[in-house]
Amino acid sequence: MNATWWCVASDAPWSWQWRPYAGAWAIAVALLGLRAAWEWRSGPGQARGALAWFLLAVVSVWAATDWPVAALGAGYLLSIHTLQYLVLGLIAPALLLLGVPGEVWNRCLVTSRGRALLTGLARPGVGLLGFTVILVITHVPALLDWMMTSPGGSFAVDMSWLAAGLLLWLPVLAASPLALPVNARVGYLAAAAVPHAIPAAFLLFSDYPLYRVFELAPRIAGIDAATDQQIAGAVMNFGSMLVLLAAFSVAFFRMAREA
Amino acid sequence: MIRRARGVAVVLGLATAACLDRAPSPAAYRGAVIDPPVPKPDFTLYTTAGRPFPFRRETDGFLTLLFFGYTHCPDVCPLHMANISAVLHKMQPSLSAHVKVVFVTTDPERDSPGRLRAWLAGFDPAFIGLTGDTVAIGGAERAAGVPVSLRQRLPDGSVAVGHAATVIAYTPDNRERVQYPFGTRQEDWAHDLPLLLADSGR
Repeated sequence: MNATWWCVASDAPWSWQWRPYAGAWAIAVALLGLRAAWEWRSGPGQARGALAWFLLAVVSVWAATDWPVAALGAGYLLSIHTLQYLVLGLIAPALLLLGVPGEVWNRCLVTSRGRALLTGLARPGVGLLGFTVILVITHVPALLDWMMTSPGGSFAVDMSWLAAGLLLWLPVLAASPLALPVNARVGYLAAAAVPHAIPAAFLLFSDYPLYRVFELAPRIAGIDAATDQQIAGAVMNFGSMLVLLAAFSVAFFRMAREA
Repeated sequence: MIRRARGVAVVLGLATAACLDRAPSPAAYRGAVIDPPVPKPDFTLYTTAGRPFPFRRETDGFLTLLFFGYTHCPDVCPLHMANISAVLHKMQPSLSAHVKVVFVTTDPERDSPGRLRAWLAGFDPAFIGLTGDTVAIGGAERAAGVPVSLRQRLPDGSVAVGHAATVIAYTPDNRERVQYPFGTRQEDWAHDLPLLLADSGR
Protein backbone atom coordinates (compact mmCIF):
# COMPACT_ATOMS: atom_id res chain seq x y z
CA MET A 1 0.00 0.00 0.00
CA ASN A 2 1.46 3.32 -1.09
CA ALA A 3 0.30 5.94 1.45
CA THR A 4 1.08 9.65 1.16
CA TRP A 5 0.07 12.45 3.50
CA TRP A 6 -2.02 14.38 0.93
CA CYS A 7 -3.46 13.65 -2.48
CA VAL A 8 -1.49 14.69 -5.54
CA ALA A 9 -1.82 14.41 -9.32
CA SER A 10 -0.35 11.23 -10.74
CA ASP A 11 0.31 10.06 -14.29
CA ALA A 12 -0.27 6.43 -13.30
CA PRO A 13 -3.44 4.81 -14.62
CA TRP A 14 -6.30 4.95 -12.12
CA SER A 15 -6.58 2.03 -9.73
CA TRP A 16 -9.29 1.18 -7.20
CA GLN A 17 -6.64 0.04 -4.75
CA TRP A 18 -7.20 1.82 -1.43
CA ARG A 19 -4.62 4.52 -0.61
CA PRO A 20 -5.33 6.44 2.58
CA TYR A 21 -4.07 10.00 3.03
CA ALA A 22 -2.64 10.59 6.48
CA GLY A 23 -3.34 14.34 6.32
CA ALA A 24 -7.05 13.78 5.82
CA TRP A 25 -7.23 11.56 8.89
CA ALA A 26 -5.10 14.00 10.91
CA ILE A 27 -7.45 16.88 10.11
CA ALA A 28 -10.50 14.81 11.04
CA VAL A 29 -8.87 13.80 14.33
CA ALA A 30 -7.81 17.43 15.02
CA LEU A 31 -11.38 18.65 14.45
CA LEU A 32 -12.77 15.96 16.74
CA GLY A 33 -10.13 16.92 19.32
CA LEU A 34 -11.19 20.54 19.07
CA ARG A 35 -14.78 19.54 19.63
CA ALA A 36 -13.79 17.41 22.63
CA ALA A 37 -11.89 20.38 24.07
CA TRP A 38 -14.96 22.61 23.73
CA GLU A 39 -17.00 19.92 25.42
CA TRP A 40 -14.49 19.62 28.25
CA ARG A 41 -14.24 23.37 28.84
CA SER A 42 -17.99 23.91 28.73
CA GLY A 43 -18.76 21.12 31.14
CA PRO A 44 -20.87 18.05 30.48
CA GLY A 45 -23.88 18.57 28.29
CA GLN A 46 -23.19 22.27 27.73
CA ALA A 47 -22.09 22.15 24.11
CA ARG A 48 -24.13 19.33 22.62
CA GLY A 49 -26.69 21.30 20.62
CA ALA A 50 -24.62 21.57 17.48
CA LEU A 51 -22.84 18.22 17.76
CA ALA A 52 -24.64 16.65 14.80
CA TRP A 53 -23.71 19.54 12.49
CA PHE A 54 -20.12 19.36 13.63
CA LEU A 55 -19.86 15.61 13.08
CA LEU A 56 -21.37 16.02 9.62
CA ALA A 57 -18.74 18.67 8.90
CA VAL A 58 -15.93 16.35 10.00
CA VAL A 59 -17.27 13.51 7.84
CA SER A 60 -17.63 15.77 4.80
CA VAL A 61 -14.09 17.21 5.18
CA TRP A 62 -12.66 13.72 5.60
CA ALA A 63 -14.61 12.30 2.63
CA ALA A 64 -13.48 15.14 0.36
CA THR A 65 -9.81 14.88 1.33
CA ASP A 66 -9.31 11.12 1.52
CA TRP A 67 -9.27 8.34 -1.08
CA PRO A 68 -11.00 7.89 -3.49
CA VAL A 69 -12.53 11.36 -3.90
CA ALA A 70 -9.28 13.19 -3.21
CA ALA A 71 -7.23 11.00 -5.53
CA LEU A 72 -9.73 11.31 -8.37
CA GLY A 73 -10.06 15.05 -7.83
CA ALA A 74 -6.35 15.73 -7.57
CA GLY A 75 -5.32 14.36 -10.89
CA TYR A 76 -7.91 12.47 -12.89
CA LEU A 77 -11.32 14.12 -13.16
CA LEU A 78 -12.00 17.84 -13.06
CA SER A 79 -15.64 17.09 -12.27
CA ILE A 80 -14.61 15.33 -9.04
CA HIS A 81 -12.17 18.17 -8.30
CA THR A 82 -15.10 20.59 -8.57
CA LEU A 83 -17.21 18.35 -6.36
CA GLN A 84 -14.40 18.55 -3.79
CA TYR A 85 -14.57 22.31 -4.10
CA LEU A 86 -18.32 22.26 -3.44
CA VAL A 87 -17.86 20.19 -0.31
CA LEU A 88 -14.77 21.94 1.07
CA GLY A 89 -15.62 25.45 -0.07
CA LEU A 90 -19.36 25.57 0.56
CA ILE A 91 -20.86 22.64 2.44
CA ALA A 92 -18.27 21.74 5.11
CA PRO A 93 -17.61 25.35 6.24
CA ALA A 94 -21.34 25.94 6.70
CA LEU A 95 -21.65 22.73 8.73
CA LEU A 96 -18.57 23.66 10.79
CA LEU A 97 -20.02 27.06 11.69
CA LEU A 98 -23.40 25.52 12.49
CA GLY A 99 -21.51 23.08 14.72
CA VAL A 100 -19.87 25.75 16.86
CA PRO A 101 -21.74 25.83 20.19
CA GLY A 102 -23.12 29.15 21.45
CA GLU A 103 -20.83 29.05 24.50
CA VAL A 104 -17.77 28.96 22.23
CA TRP A 105 -18.97 32.04 20.30
CA ASN A 106 -19.58 33.79 23.62
CA ARG A 107 -16.14 32.93 24.93
CA CYS A 108 -14.53 34.28 21.74
CA LEU A 109 -16.52 37.50 22.00
CA VAL A 110 -15.61 38.11 25.64
CA THR A 111 -12.05 39.20 24.84
CA SER A 112 -11.63 42.48 23.00
CA ARG A 113 -9.09 40.95 20.61
CA GLY A 114 -11.39 38.03 19.75
CA ARG A 115 -14.34 40.35 19.28
CA ALA A 116 -12.38 42.69 17.01
CA LEU A 117 -11.06 39.82 14.89
CA LEU A 118 -14.43 38.12 14.47
CA THR A 119 -16.24 41.40 13.83
CA GLY A 120 -13.74 42.23 11.10
CA LEU A 121 -13.95 38.79 9.48
CA ALA A 122 -17.75 38.68 9.65
CA ARG A 123 -18.17 41.82 7.52
CA PRO A 124 -20.06 40.95 4.33
CA GLY A 125 -17.54 42.79 2.15
CA VAL A 126 -14.66 40.82 3.64
CA GLY A 127 -16.57 37.57 3.24
CA LEU A 128 -17.59 38.09 -0.37
CA LEU A 129 -14.31 39.60 -1.51
CA GLY A 130 -12.14 37.06 0.29
CA PHE A 131 -14.21 34.18 -1.04
CA THR A 132 -14.21 35.49 -4.61
CA VAL A 133 -10.46 36.13 -4.66
CA ILE A 134 -9.68 32.62 -3.39
CA LEU A 135 -12.24 31.05 -5.73
CA VAL A 136 -10.77 32.78 -8.78
CA ILE A 137 -7.10 32.28 -7.84
CA THR A 138 -7.53 28.57 -7.15
CA HIS A 139 -9.10 28.11 -10.58
CA VAL A 140 -6.38 29.88 -12.61
CA PRO A 141 -5.22 27.06 -14.94
CA ALA A 142 -1.45 27.59 -14.79
CA LEU A 143 -1.50 27.94 -11.01
CA LEU A 144 -3.76 24.95 -10.40
CA ASP A 145 -1.74 22.77 -12.79
CA TRP A 146 1.38 23.63 -10.81
CA MET A 147 -0.16 23.23 -7.36
CA MET A 148 -1.75 19.86 -7.99
CA THR A 149 1.60 18.26 -8.73
CA SER A 150 2.80 18.45 -5.13
CA PRO A 151 1.14 17.36 -1.86
CA GLY A 152 1.88 20.81 -0.41
CA GLY A 153 0.22 22.60 -3.30
CA SER A 154 -2.78 20.31 -3.31
CA PHE A 155 -3.12 20.75 0.46
CA ALA A 156 -2.95 24.55 0.05
CA VAL A 157 -5.76 24.47 -2.53
CA ASP A 158 -8.02 22.35 -0.31
CA MET A 159 -7.36 24.41 2.82
CA SER A 160 -7.80 27.71 1.00
CA TRP A 161 -11.24 26.50 -0.12
CA LEU A 162 -12.12 25.68 3.47
CA ALA A 163 -10.92 29.13 4.60
CA ALA A 164 -12.83 30.81 1.76
CA GLY A 165 -16.01 28.99 2.77
CA LEU A 166 -15.63 30.02 6.40
CA LEU A 167 -15.19 33.65 5.30
CA LEU A 168 -18.27 33.40 3.08
CA TRP A 169 -20.54 31.86 5.68
CA LEU A 170 -19.38 33.85 8.73
CA PRO A 171 -21.71 36.82 8.08
CA VAL A 172 -24.62 34.36 7.77
CA LEU A 173 -23.96 31.66 10.34
CA ALA A 174 -21.96 33.36 13.09
CA ALA A 175 -23.68 33.93 16.41
CA SER A 176 -25.45 37.17 17.14
CA PRO A 177 -24.36 40.00 17.14
CA LEU A 178 -21.76 39.03 14.50
CA ALA A 179 -24.20 37.73 11.87
CA LEU A 180 -26.05 40.03 9.50
CA PRO A 181 -29.70 40.87 10.14
CA VAL A 182 -31.97 38.31 8.48
CA ASN A 183 -33.07 40.57 5.61
CA ALA A 184 -29.45 41.46 4.82
CA ARG A 185 -28.57 37.75 4.74
CA VAL A 186 -31.01 37.26 1.89
CA GLY A 187 -29.25 39.86 -0.23
CA TYR A 188 -25.79 38.60 0.77
CA LEU A 189 -26.61 35.02 -0.24
CA ALA A 190 -28.00 36.18 -3.58
CA ALA A 191 -24.75 38.08 -4.19
CA ALA A 192 -22.70 35.01 -3.18
CA ALA A 193 -24.04 33.13 -6.22
CA VAL A 194 -22.36 35.58 -8.61
CA PRO A 195 -18.66 34.64 -8.13
CA HIS A 196 -19.35 31.02 -9.11
CA ALA A 197 -20.53 32.13 -12.50
CA ILE A 198 -16.98 33.20 -13.45
CA PRO A 199 -15.18 29.82 -13.31
CA ALA A 200 -18.37 27.97 -14.26
CA ALA A 201 -18.64 29.95 -17.50
CA PHE A 202 -15.04 29.21 -18.41
CA LEU A 203 -15.53 25.51 -17.68
CA LEU A 204 -18.75 25.27 -19.66
CA PHE A 205 -17.85 27.33 -22.70
CA SER A 206 -14.12 26.89 -23.32
CA ASP A 207 -13.27 25.38 -26.68
CA TYR A 208 -10.51 23.22 -25.24
CA PRO A 209 -9.64 21.72 -21.84
CA LEU A 210 -8.32 24.40 -19.49
CA TYR A 211 -6.24 22.34 -17.11
CA ARG A 212 -3.21 20.39 -18.27
CA VAL A 213 -3.31 18.11 -15.24
CA PHE A 214 -6.81 16.85 -16.08
CA GLU A 215 -6.45 16.93 -19.88
CA LEU A 216 -3.38 14.68 -19.86
CA ALA A 217 -4.49 12.36 -17.06
CA PRO A 218 -5.21 8.73 -17.91
CA ARG A 219 -8.92 8.54 -18.71
CA ILE A 220 -11.43 6.90 -16.42
CA ALA A 221 -14.56 5.15 -17.68
CA GLY A 222 -14.04 6.63 -21.13
CA ILE A 223 -14.90 10.17 -20.01
CA ASP A 224 -12.97 12.51 -22.31
CA ALA A 225 -11.41 15.73 -21.05
CA ALA A 226 -13.94 18.04 -22.72
CA THR A 227 -16.97 16.17 -21.31
CA ASP A 228 -15.34 16.04 -17.89
CA GLN A 229 -14.79 19.80 -18.02
CA GLN A 230 -18.40 20.45 -18.97
CA ILE A 231 -19.63 18.25 -16.12
CA ALA A 232 -17.34 20.25 -13.83
CA GLY A 233 -18.90 23.49 -15.06
CA ALA A 234 -22.38 22.12 -14.39
CA VAL A 235 -21.36 20.93 -10.92
CA MET A 236 -19.87 24.35 -10.16
CA ASN A 237 -22.88 26.24 -11.47
CA PHE A 238 -25.83 24.15 -10.31
CA GLY A 239 -24.20 22.64 -7.21
CA SER A 240 -23.28 26.01 -5.76
CA MET A 241 -26.67 27.38 -6.73
CA LEU A 242 -28.39 24.52 -4.92
CA VAL A 243 -26.39 25.04 -1.71
CA LEU A 244 -26.87 28.80 -1.73
CA LEU A 245 -30.54 28.43 -2.64
CA ALA A 246 -31.08 26.21 0.39
CA ALA A 247 -29.46 28.81 2.66
CA PHE A 248 -31.31 31.60 0.86
CA SER A 249 -34.65 29.82 1.41
CA VAL A 250 -33.98 29.41 5.14
CA ALA A 251 -33.05 33.11 5.45
CA PHE A 252 -36.01 34.17 3.33
CA PHE A 253 -38.61 32.22 5.33
CA ARG A 254 -37.08 33.43 8.59
CA MET A 255 -37.33 36.98 7.29
CA ALA A 256 -40.95 36.41 6.27
CA ARG A 257 -41.75 34.94 9.68
CA GLU A 258 -40.13 37.84 11.52
CA ALA A 259 -42.00 40.34 9.33
CA MET B 1 -19.09 33.22 -31.78
CA ILE B 2 -15.55 32.71 -30.54
CA ARG B 3 -15.28 29.53 -32.59
CA ARG B 4 -16.51 31.32 -35.70
CA ALA B 5 -14.03 34.14 -35.13
CA ARG B 6 -11.27 31.59 -34.69
CA GLY B 7 -12.33 29.90 -37.93
CA VAL B 8 -12.20 33.21 -39.77
CA ALA B 9 -8.77 33.86 -38.30
CA VAL B 10 -7.55 30.45 -39.47
CA VAL B 11 -8.83 31.05 -42.99
CA LEU B 12 -7.26 34.49 -43.02
CA GLY B 13 -4.03 33.01 -41.73
CA LEU B 14 -3.98 30.38 -44.45
CA ALA B 15 -4.85 32.93 -47.10
CA THR B 16 -2.10 35.24 -45.89
CA ALA B 17 0.43 32.43 -45.91
CA ALA B 18 -0.60 31.51 -49.44
CA CYS B 19 -0.47 35.13 -50.63
CA LEU B 20 2.97 35.63 -49.23
CA ASP B 21 4.01 32.30 -50.76
CA ARG B 22 5.93 31.61 -47.62
CA ALA B 23 5.82 28.79 -45.06
CA PRO B 24 5.11 29.57 -41.43
CA SER B 25 8.20 30.23 -39.38
CA PRO B 26 9.39 27.02 -37.67
CA ALA B 27 9.37 28.94 -34.42
CA ALA B 28 5.62 29.33 -34.78
CA TYR B 29 5.05 25.64 -34.06
CA ARG B 30 4.38 24.38 -30.58
CA GLY B 31 5.78 20.94 -31.33
CA ALA B 32 9.47 20.06 -31.74
CA VAL B 33 10.57 21.32 -35.15
CA ILE B 34 12.69 19.02 -37.32
CA ASP B 35 15.20 21.23 -39.05
CA PRO B 36 16.02 20.46 -41.78
CA PRO B 37 12.83 18.54 -42.61
CA VAL B 38 13.19 14.81 -43.24
CA PRO B 39 11.59 12.98 -46.21
CA LYS B 40 8.52 10.88 -45.46
CA PRO B 41 9.48 7.18 -45.12
CA ASP B 42 8.25 4.61 -47.56
CA PHE B 43 7.03 1.42 -45.87
CA THR B 44 4.11 -0.87 -46.50
CA LEU B 45 1.91 -2.37 -43.79
CA TYR B 46 -1.69 -3.64 -43.84
CA THR B 47 -4.91 -1.84 -43.02
CA THR B 48 -7.46 -3.36 -40.64
CA ALA B 49 -9.32 -4.49 -43.76
CA GLY B 50 -6.26 -6.48 -44.85
CA ARG B 51 -5.36 -4.18 -47.73
CA PRO B 52 -1.69 -3.24 -48.35
CA PHE B 53 -1.01 0.37 -47.38
CA PRO B 54 2.08 1.90 -48.99
CA PHE B 55 2.44 4.72 -46.48
CA ARG B 56 4.10 7.34 -48.63
CA ARG B 57 1.82 6.88 -51.62
CA GLU B 58 -1.43 6.62 -49.64
CA THR B 59 -0.74 9.75 -47.65
CA ASP B 60 0.76 11.83 -50.45
CA GLY B 61 -0.63 15.37 -50.46
CA PHE B 62 -2.15 15.09 -46.99
CA LEU B 63 -1.02 16.42 -43.65
CA THR B 64 -0.23 13.06 -42.04
CA LEU B 65 0.05 12.35 -38.33
CA LEU B 66 1.85 9.06 -37.71
CA PHE B 67 1.89 7.34 -34.34
CA PHE B 68 3.16 3.98 -33.14
CA GLY B 69 1.23 2.58 -30.18
CA TYR B 70 -1.07 -0.16 -28.95
CA THR B 71 -4.69 -0.43 -27.95
CA HIS B 72 -4.03 -1.77 -24.43
CA CYS B 73 -1.91 1.32 -23.70
CA PRO B 74 -3.32 2.91 -20.52
CA ASP B 75 -2.21 6.49 -21.05
CA VAL B 76 -0.13 7.91 -23.92
CA CYS B 77 -1.87 6.29 -26.92
CA PRO B 78 -5.51 6.97 -26.00
CA LEU B 79 -4.65 10.51 -24.91
CA HIS B 80 -2.86 11.39 -28.15
CA MET B 81 -5.69 9.91 -30.21
CA ALA B 82 -8.40 11.57 -28.12
CA ASN B 83 -6.75 14.99 -28.27
CA ILE B 84 -6.14 14.86 -32.02
CA SER B 85 -9.68 13.63 -32.60
CA ALA B 86 -11.21 16.37 -30.44
CA VAL B 87 -9.36 19.07 -32.37
CA LEU B 88 -10.09 17.62 -35.82
CA HIS B 89 -13.79 17.54 -34.96
CA LYS B 90 -13.66 21.24 -34.11
CA MET B 91 -11.77 22.24 -37.26
CA GLN B 92 -13.57 23.26 -40.39
CA PRO B 93 -14.29 20.14 -42.49
CA SER B 94 -12.56 21.75 -45.46
CA LEU B 95 -9.34 21.74 -43.42
CA SER B 96 -9.72 18.47 -41.51
CA ALA B 97 -10.40 16.63 -44.79
CA HIS B 98 -6.74 17.20 -45.62
CA VAL B 99 -5.48 15.44 -42.51
CA LYS B 100 -4.81 11.71 -42.24
CA VAL B 101 -4.12 10.09 -38.88
CA VAL B 102 -2.22 6.82 -39.13
CA PHE B 103 -1.89 4.58 -36.07
CA VAL B 104 0.55 1.66 -36.38
CA THR B 105 0.13 -1.01 -33.74
CA THR B 106 3.26 -2.03 -31.86
CA ASP B 107 1.42 -4.99 -30.34
CA PRO B 108 0.21 -6.99 -33.35
CA GLU B 109 -0.29 -10.17 -31.28
CA ARG B 110 -3.05 -8.66 -29.15
CA ASP B 111 -4.21 -5.93 -31.53
CA SER B 112 -6.20 -7.98 -34.01
CA PRO B 113 -7.42 -5.98 -37.02
CA GLY B 114 -10.94 -6.04 -35.55
CA ARG B 115 -9.82 -4.79 -32.15
CA LEU B 116 -7.63 -2.10 -33.72
CA ARG B 117 -10.48 -0.94 -35.96
CA ALA B 118 -12.98 -0.80 -33.09
CA TRP B 119 -10.52 1.03 -30.81
CA LEU B 120 -9.71 3.68 -33.44
CA ALA B 121 -13.39 4.09 -34.32
CA GLY B 122 -13.92 5.12 -30.72
CA PHE B 123 -11.90 8.23 -31.53
CA ASP B 124 -12.67 8.74 -35.20
CA PRO B 125 -13.76 6.18 -37.81
CA ALA B 126 -11.52 7.94 -40.34
CA PHE B 127 -8.35 7.16 -38.37
CA ILE B 128 -6.27 4.59 -40.26
CA GLY B 129 -5.02 1.55 -38.37
CA LEU B 130 -2.03 -0.36 -39.71
CA THR B 131 -0.67 -3.72 -38.68
CA GLY B 132 1.80 -6.33 -39.85
CA ASP B 133 4.31 -8.75 -38.37
CA THR B 134 6.78 -7.52 -35.78
CA VAL B 135 9.62 -7.41 -38.32
CA ALA B 136 7.63 -5.21 -40.69
CA ILE B 137 6.47 -2.95 -37.87
CA GLY B 138 10.05 -2.65 -36.57
CA GLY B 139 11.12 -1.74 -40.08
CA ALA B 140 8.45 0.95 -40.24
CA GLU B 141 9.60 2.35 -36.91
CA ARG B 142 13.19 2.47 -38.08
CA ALA B 143 12.12 4.10 -41.34
CA ALA B 144 10.20 6.73 -39.39
CA GLY B 145 13.22 7.36 -37.17
CA VAL B 146 11.68 6.28 -33.87
CA PRO B 147 13.02 3.62 -31.49
CA VAL B 148 11.81 0.11 -32.17
CA SER B 149 9.12 -0.87 -29.67
CA LEU B 150 9.72 -3.51 -27.00
CA ARG B 151 7.26 -5.97 -25.47
CA GLN B 152 7.74 -6.63 -21.79
CA ARG B 153 5.92 -8.98 -19.41
CA LEU B 154 5.37 -7.25 -16.06
CA PRO B 155 5.58 -9.00 -12.65
CA ASP B 156 1.78 -8.95 -12.37
CA GLY B 157 1.50 -10.97 -15.59
CA SER B 158 0.34 -8.11 -17.80
CA VAL B 159 2.18 -7.09 -20.93
CA ALA B 160 3.48 -3.58 -21.50
CA VAL B 161 4.85 -2.33 -24.77
CA GLY B 162 7.53 0.32 -24.68
CA HIS B 163 7.12 2.55 -27.71
CA ALA B 164 7.85 6.04 -28.95
CA ALA B 165 5.45 8.57 -27.41
CA THR B 166 5.73 11.13 -30.19
CA VAL B 167 3.33 11.85 -33.00
CA ILE B 168 5.19 12.62 -36.22
CA ALA B 169 3.70 15.26 -38.49
CA TYR B 170 4.37 15.08 -42.23
CA THR B 171 3.28 18.08 -44.23
CA PRO B 172 1.47 17.63 -47.58
CA ASP B 173 4.82 17.90 -49.39
CA ASN B 174 5.86 14.56 -47.80
CA ARG B 175 8.32 15.97 -45.31
CA GLU B 176 8.56 15.41 -41.58
CA ARG B 177 8.55 18.86 -40.05
CA VAL B 178 7.40 18.60 -36.46
CA GLN B 179 7.17 15.98 -33.72
CA TYR B 180 4.67 16.12 -30.87
CA PRO B 181 5.71 14.50 -27.61
CA PHE B 182 3.38 13.24 -24.91
CA GLY B 183 2.05 16.32 -23.15
CA THR B 184 0.87 18.01 -26.35
CA ARG B 185 -2.46 19.60 -25.56
CA GLN B 186 -5.57 20.15 -27.63
CA GLU B 187 -4.89 23.86 -27.86
CA ASP B 188 -1.41 23.03 -29.23
CA TRP B 189 -2.91 20.85 -31.94
CA ALA B 190 -5.52 23.50 -32.71
CA HIS B 191 -2.72 26.01 -33.09
CA ASP B 192 -0.37 23.87 -35.19
CA LEU B 193 -2.61 21.84 -37.52
CA PRO B 194 -3.66 24.83 -39.69
CA LEU B 195 -0.02 25.97 -39.84
CA LEU B 196 1.11 22.49 -40.87
CA LEU B 197 -1.55 22.39 -43.58
CA ALA B 198 -0.23 25.66 -44.90
CA ASP B 199 3.39 24.57 -44.65
CA SER B 200 4.51 22.87 -47.82
CA GLY B 201 8.01 24.15 -47.56
CA ARG B 202 7.60 26.61 -50.34
